[in-house]
Amino acid sequence: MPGANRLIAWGSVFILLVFSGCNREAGRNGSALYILWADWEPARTLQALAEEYTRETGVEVKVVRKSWDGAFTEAAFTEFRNRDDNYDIIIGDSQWLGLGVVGGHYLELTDWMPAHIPMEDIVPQALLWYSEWPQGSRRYFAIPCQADAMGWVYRRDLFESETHRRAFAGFLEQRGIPDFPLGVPQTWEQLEWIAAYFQDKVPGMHGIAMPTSRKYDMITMSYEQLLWAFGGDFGDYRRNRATFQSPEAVEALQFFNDLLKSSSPGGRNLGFGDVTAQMLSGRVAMACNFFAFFPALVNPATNPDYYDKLGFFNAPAHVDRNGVKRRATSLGGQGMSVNAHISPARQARAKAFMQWFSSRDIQQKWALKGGISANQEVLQSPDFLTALPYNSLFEEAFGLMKDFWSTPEFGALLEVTQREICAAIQRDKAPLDAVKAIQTEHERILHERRWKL
Amino acid sequence: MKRRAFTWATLPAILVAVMMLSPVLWMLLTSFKLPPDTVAMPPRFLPGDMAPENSFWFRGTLGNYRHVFGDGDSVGPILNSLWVAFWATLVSLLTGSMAGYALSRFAFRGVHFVQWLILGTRLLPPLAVAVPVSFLFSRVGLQDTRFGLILLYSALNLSLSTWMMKGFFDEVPRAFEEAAFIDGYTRLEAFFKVVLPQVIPGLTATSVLGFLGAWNEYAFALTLTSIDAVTLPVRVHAISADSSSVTWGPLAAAALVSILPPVLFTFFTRRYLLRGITLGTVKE
Amino acid sequence: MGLFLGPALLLLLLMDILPLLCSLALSFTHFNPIIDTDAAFAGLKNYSGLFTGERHEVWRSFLRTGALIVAAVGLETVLGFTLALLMRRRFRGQGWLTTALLIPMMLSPAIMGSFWRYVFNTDYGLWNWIFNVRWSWDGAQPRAFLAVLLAEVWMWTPFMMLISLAALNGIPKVLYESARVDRAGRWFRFRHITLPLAAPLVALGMVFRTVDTFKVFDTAMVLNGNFEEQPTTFVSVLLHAKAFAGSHSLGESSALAYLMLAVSVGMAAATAYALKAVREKRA
Repeated sequence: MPGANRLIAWGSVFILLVFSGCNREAGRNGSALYILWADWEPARTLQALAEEYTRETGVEVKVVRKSWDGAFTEAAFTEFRNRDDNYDIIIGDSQWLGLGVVGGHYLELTDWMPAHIPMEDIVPQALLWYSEWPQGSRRYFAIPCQADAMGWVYRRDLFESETHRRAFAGFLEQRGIPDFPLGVPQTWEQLEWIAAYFQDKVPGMHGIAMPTSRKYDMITMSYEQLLWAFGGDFGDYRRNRATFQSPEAVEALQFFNDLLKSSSPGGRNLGFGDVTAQMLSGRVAMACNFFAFFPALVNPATNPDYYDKLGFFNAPAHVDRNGVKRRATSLGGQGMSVNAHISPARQARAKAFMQWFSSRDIQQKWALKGGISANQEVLQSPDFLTALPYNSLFEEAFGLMKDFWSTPEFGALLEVTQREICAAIQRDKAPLDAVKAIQTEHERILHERRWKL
Repeated sequence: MKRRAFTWATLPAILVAVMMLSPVLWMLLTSFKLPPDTVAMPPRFLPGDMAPENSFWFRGTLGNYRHVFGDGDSVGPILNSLWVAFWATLVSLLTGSMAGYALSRFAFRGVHFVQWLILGTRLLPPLAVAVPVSFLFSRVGLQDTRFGLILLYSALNLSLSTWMMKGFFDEVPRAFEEAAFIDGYTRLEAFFKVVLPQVIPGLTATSVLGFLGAWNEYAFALTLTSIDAVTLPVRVHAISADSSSVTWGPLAAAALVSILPPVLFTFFTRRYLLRGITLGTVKE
Repeated sequence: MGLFLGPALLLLLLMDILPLLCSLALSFTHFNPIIDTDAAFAGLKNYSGLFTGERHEVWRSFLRTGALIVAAVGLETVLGFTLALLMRRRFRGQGWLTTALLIPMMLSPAIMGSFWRYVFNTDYGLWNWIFNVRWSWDGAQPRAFLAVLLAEVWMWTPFMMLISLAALNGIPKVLYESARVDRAGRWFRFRHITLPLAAPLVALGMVFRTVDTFKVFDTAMVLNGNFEEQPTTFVSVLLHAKAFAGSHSLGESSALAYLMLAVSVGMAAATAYALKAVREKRA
């Protein structure tokens, strides 16, 4: 190579090298507070909110984000496994509480919380599901950070159009179904009919989109709301007994399978983001997802075509043979825990942040920015209720929420339900066989547990 | 054989090249689209103004590239990958050249054993080593450090470097060193001053392959990095797994940035790459 | 001489030998580091567990990997060789073509895999639209296996093509000329000159591809995640699942790692044999 070229080549290599070596990201910042959370909008909101904390106290806060499809769980569990101190605060999923407590990874906050957190303002269910473990023990290991549940979004513009209303009435008449208006469904059966209408009668459209992926807990979360509405349950959490196998569980699984006939060809393997994609594309009439994913739908930047054409509702009810009406929604949400493996000085610093976060004013700001607060006053304030179109649903949702197992073995238990429900939904395994398999495995896992509290 | 302008082989050849590159071309297009256009059906191919339903037009935007370079989450991994790949290549080049030289020049009992030991590591499934390495790294504090990655990648590239350089050294007649010895050079001096300059093409090819190996590596980076040392392949996959919104656009943009070095290197060193990939048996 | 080999051997010792020994030790224990603080000795239970596990996931993953190897290497060889036959003669632009064909091999499988997820998306992926089908490529569908197969073939057919080209160019032209003088037909020339003389090198290429395909992880992981029973759960993916997901069992996964190693050593021996044969033939 001629001299000048060679000089340029080596020069640029040198510059690139120096640049990458001085990468700010590399190397720990000893005085910063590291928080581990999932890679989603609430985490970005928290980072933005934390900048205010930095302004007030000078402590830098870094929210490290990992994706829901496995990286977040792996990051947290690697931290636990290595008893590491990379993160000061871990915003773990509600199901991880048992694991964090028994493994000694979450710092106990039972004595600290009453003195530093306005506990009387927190919705009792939030404390129950996000902070307390075991349930009923009044021992706390996290403060509620993000309250969340599964909600439903629908295309209000389509539901309100006269053409569709008339066509829908005709559709019902054709099938001999007792008439009900095209609007927010009150029961699961109504939801199914609306979905079938859009799927069969409207070209280019599908009925529903629900998270049905094998990854993490997605399909189990979608199934749960049906399971409970139909009268089934996973088990007695307090006594660690699996009571999953029941006619109701089978019925719910069968219903789930039938309901998914009104989804797109890829509808039996959708992740949280895929559900959002379906709604963005405008090809689906109703979708189910965690509330935390809804901001992307009402934001004109990410959803330029339909952001103002959407409506929201909580999961519908189911009336069983005896006339008993049941309604439930799948609980999501995370609590903020202190990593038990960090130094006492860092623990104190983490607690200071958590105290700041739980204060009324900050919770208000958190909620208005799109985070979901568990503070009752905030939830009832008019600012909050009007900030986003679905905020008014939370009060109702709190009363309907239920969670999956949160024992230390929840990972193994979840793996089983994910595998079997996917087999039923994606590979035509008979619902009864799937339910039986889950029951057998759950019994075995709970029987084999080797820890003692 | 005379070079002809067009033979009947040209057309299928062009077709094949297009098929091979079409995913990359689609990636290029996708990187300029807004979220709804990336999930539109039928897919949209041409940039234009607001698309009516069912058309081929999409709204062009630079937002995805701004996202990749702007919000900082991807810039770090790009720099990390550059840093790690550079040093790993350098270390494995140096150690591999010296080892390849030794294997080429010295005959000693066990030379075959050493040879196959070094080659054997290339056949090692990365996952088989990933679990204990992750375990050990965390015990000694190398977890999530660029230094740890550099060490590991150097070892991974070692077999390729050694094997390739041995092949190149085999082609250098011993007369060179012997002349140097007569002039009073030590073995080490002879190596650096006389022999190495003879194999610069080999060094180039080896370093390119080494760099690409480190640049593209995913399995180990997945388990060994979390915050500070995250490399580009891990970051790109994380973008695709982000469930808060539709991310195919940013994914395409980040992916294109990642494949730039491989494409450039391939273009400039294609003559020697084949030799490297086949462990020196094929010299074209 | 020690100076020359020293650094390399040191690096190998640290990064390969040491972890392998550690893995060997771990394979005899029961250890879920998240809940347990100590490893409990478990004898050979992990190894026997590999073969007797009720869902046979280990056996299945080996079967799947074997199927992938056969399909991928087979396709790559046939396609690559055919392409090489087409492009034997020099023509204008051959250099550009070579570059274009080399590029897929030089890309990160993980990065391309992330993008393949988009191309193979059931609802709006390019593939489904081009071929006008509504195929489901991910999750538990058998077609997920095809997705990985396609990605692999796309990436590595150029490799077999280049090897085949080198093999074909290594056949002395005189043989063809004398065959033409003897009025041997095209098919005869192909069967008795081209195939036998190109075979050793092509076989070597196939051995390389076999060994590499056995290790497949990035593409499968990125396309379909690490679950124990998917059609894309190849041996590496299963290993990752056992170690880092679900039961987090270090002991079990270490035992599986050694099983994998045993198979790899077998393949290494085959590689050695093939390499030697080719070197001798060409010498």
